[in-house]
Amino acid sequence: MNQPDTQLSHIATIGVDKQTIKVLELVFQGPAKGAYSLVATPQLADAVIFDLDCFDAENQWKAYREKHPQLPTLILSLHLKEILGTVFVQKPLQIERILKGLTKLQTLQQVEVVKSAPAKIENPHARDIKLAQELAIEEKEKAIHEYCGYLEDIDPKNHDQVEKIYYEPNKYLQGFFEKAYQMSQEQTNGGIWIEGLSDPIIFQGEENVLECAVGWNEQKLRTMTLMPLTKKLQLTPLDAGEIKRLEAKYTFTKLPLDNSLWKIALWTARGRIPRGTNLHHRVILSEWPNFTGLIVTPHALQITALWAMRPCSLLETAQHLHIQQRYVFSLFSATAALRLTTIDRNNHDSNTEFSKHAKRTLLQRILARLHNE
Amino acid sequence: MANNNNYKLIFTGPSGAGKSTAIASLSDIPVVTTEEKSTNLIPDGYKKTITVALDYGMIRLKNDDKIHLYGTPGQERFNFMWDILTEGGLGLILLLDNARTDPIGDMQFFLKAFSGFIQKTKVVIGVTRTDMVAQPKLKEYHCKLKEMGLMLPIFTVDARSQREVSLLLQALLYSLDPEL
Repeated sequence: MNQPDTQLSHIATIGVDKQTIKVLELVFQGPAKGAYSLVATPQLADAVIFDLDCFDAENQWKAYREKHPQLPTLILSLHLKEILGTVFVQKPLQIERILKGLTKLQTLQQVEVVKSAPAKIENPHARDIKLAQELAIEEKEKAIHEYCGYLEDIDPKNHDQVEKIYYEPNKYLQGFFEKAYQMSQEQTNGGIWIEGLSDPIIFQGEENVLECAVGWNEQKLRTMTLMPLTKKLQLTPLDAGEIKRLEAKYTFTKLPLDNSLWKIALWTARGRIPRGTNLHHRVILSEWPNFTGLIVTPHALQITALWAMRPCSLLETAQHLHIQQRYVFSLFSATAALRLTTIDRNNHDSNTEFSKHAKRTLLQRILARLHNE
Repeated sequence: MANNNNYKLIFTGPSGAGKSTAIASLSDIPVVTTEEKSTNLIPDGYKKTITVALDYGMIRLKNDDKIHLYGTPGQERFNFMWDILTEGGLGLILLLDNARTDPIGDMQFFLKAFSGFIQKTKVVIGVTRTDMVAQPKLKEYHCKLKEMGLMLPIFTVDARSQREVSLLLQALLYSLDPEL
């Protein structure tokens, strides 16, 4: 399931009450002549019907889109909800509206499959009328996928699936940035210049500054990180005088060095891990990342807290926290780039049980409150 | 305090580290602060008053649970209050002022002073005013913590930023129970 198939016959529901589910069953068997059938979970579905008026809808929606970003979705609500890539059906439910909605979803799906160009052309008017909150969620989702990718959880026994989660940082800009970062950390003054790029970039480890000549911007940097390097780059140590001379020649923008490398590692990895990382060996955290100055990927604080409490493997981490593996892999790739984590070569999974905090429910409520702010 | 849906979080650290401001960033009520003019001169005027009694704020949760936020008096002469304040607390947020003469010494002092409470709960550390005084770096704080046999969440923080104070508190909550 969940393939880009144009036939949407298996439908799952989220947030839909029992009575409505019963109505849907009758509609699917009767007027729809068996064209659709209900399935238990989105994992088994070709499409989802989501009731946006249900209890805790916002969080449920976020969790759903995080897990199934590309699953065709029909939104039910009393009020107009225009969310990109979904079809809206206004409540109260009517048989005709549901069937029209599903047909429209099917058509949208066909268009998506037929389209050769991946870029979507948005209707500016439709965008204007979206609720700000929905837009914010969409933007957040887009950013999350830029940093963490779309990889589904893998079965560690399946060789083909395991292969998909590896990448080689040294074949990308990330590898050079990591080396330059390490060299700059060992300097007491001066910096490291990456030679061979179109415009100069200087690493100043002591100051935690990345100086990028004006030709660079975030979009260009991201594009560069996605493509394997084709030309040879060179790392050149610079003293303070040489940096001043370059600063006189070019206009530089100063960025925080640790956050820049962190982002580059996330962009390049997109939910993968460096080749050679053992999935079953424990992750050793040397220190907490300075999260206030970094991109905080989903579950990053939670994963770090777990590693700080007890080293455990990447797979064990995802399993214990009941989260998608790609979020664990993303954080590992970013922390490994900054040399904050390593893999323990000697020890395997420990399978130690965690003790539940006596006030877990209270702590969860405080967290929910902080997340909603 | 930890009954009848009432719980508390403790903010501590030296005078001027931003405890009152951090509490204000999270609190649902105006922060009650007992402050008087400092008798100790703070040269750059960043903080014109220092707290000589406790700060108080509150987070209200949907089910009527109340999280009381207490800021301890920053001056050592009030440390008799610390044991009373921390009793039944959920955890400790230690704020350090990077512009003070010896912030790493401050960290050691407060971790020692609250060691009993920290052993029962958890602590996170926020370092403020790193934009004004860049040294010491976080690396140096981490080195000292390693010497002390500790690995703690330690972030640079602008106490006025709700996001940054919230991240600090989230790190505390996950340190208490990563499976939240």
